[in-house]
Amino acid sequence: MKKLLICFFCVLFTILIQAQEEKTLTMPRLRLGIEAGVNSLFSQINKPEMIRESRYYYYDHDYDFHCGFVYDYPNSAFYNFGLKLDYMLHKRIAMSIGLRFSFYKATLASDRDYFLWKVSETETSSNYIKINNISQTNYYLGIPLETRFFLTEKDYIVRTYFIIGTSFNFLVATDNKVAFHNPEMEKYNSNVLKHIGNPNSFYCSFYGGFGLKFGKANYPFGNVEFFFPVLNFEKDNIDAFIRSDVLGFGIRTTLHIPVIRKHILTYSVTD
Amino acid sequence: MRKICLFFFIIILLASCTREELDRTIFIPDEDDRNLPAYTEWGYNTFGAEYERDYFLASDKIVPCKILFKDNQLQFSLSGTIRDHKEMTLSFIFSSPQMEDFKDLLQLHNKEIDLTANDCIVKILRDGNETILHVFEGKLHFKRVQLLSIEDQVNRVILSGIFDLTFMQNDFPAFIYKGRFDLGITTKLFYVY
Repeated sequence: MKKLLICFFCVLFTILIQAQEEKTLTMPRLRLGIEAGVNSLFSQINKPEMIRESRYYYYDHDYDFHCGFVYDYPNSAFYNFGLKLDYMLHKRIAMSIGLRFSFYKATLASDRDYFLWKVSETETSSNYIKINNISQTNYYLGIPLETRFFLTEKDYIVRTYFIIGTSFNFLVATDNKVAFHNPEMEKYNSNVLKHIGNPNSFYCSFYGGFGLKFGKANYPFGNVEFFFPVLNFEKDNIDAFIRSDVLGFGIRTTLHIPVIRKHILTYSVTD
Repeated sequence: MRKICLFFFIIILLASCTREELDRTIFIPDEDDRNLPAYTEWGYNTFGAEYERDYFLASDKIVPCKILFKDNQLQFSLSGTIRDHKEMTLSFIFSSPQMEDFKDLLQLHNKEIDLTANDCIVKILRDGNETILHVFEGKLHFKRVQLLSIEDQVNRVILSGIFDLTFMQNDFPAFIYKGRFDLGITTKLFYVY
């Protein structure tokens, strides 16, 4: 029995000695990333005063019978895609910079076919038109800066990391559209659009989260990143058509392709 | 039983939805007194007033206003509910220039009616009993009367205004005050005799 125990500990010791062998890892430092993602921020539409209310309020209770209420809480998803260069600074740390194109669309619509819009008035007359919806799409070009911190040194097939980043986003275009219930009323298009507030020309976002890398660093690999919180900061433009909250969340996926393979990161890990 | 209730609820809901949007009563609460509708000029088919310590309010179930022109007199009637959802109609009858259709209501724009004048009658219809009020102070002011067009087609006249009155009731003074109305009047709500 004693011999058996000694034998068992010898085998275990040998395994432990073998497990602590150092291995040298090499991987290209520079990678090109192609990314696509979505951030969701709670936002509200500035409902223009020209809209005739349809909601029925009574004694502080909301009897909304879905008879024409104009929703001012839009689906506010910021879709984004871009290109970035990812550089392995260290066995655990990578940094990236790139160009990110993002856009979001908000639509003001009724829960029925249309809502009424006061298009003109004098002291003794008013003219309403029927509008199916009004939408605004804003396109931004941003510069993201990100840092990833890997939890493990070894390049496992699935590797977990934390990420923090910021991006500076500049408005490149905005597109306002009015869908009229009666096409003949398109003559009032400019009249309606002049009441739609312009978006902010710049916003900055800070975000943190975690990611999962799938694949070996020497080959093209993909990752999925989850962000919370996403903090957006912009000048509080009270006239803007869409007003977003500061806080949100997001998800993004990236395909990384190693480039300039001569530029190698070499480091040792204990296996 | 629950299914039957649900069925009736859906029927009521659909019935309320099929009514033309401009005919519905929209209640936007007054910021100072949320029991009363705010003074608006959008044709929300609503009215409200304090009646002593109660509220006289438009209801989505009752046509809030009907206007009758007869013998150079205009009867402007507000129908709604008071305590315990009992129906009540308050009518103002006053002399008026000739009117032939609802568009002629524009003559009321910015017109103030003295409810104590001899040619003016104010009546309350409640529980089937009509009472002519002895008004000793009061006015009805049509602050804004506008012709409403929908997509360039004349649709209705919007009457927006305020009213207040103090009157004798059972030998005691009573009052209706903070009255405000915002009503859309179409052909079917304007009658000429």
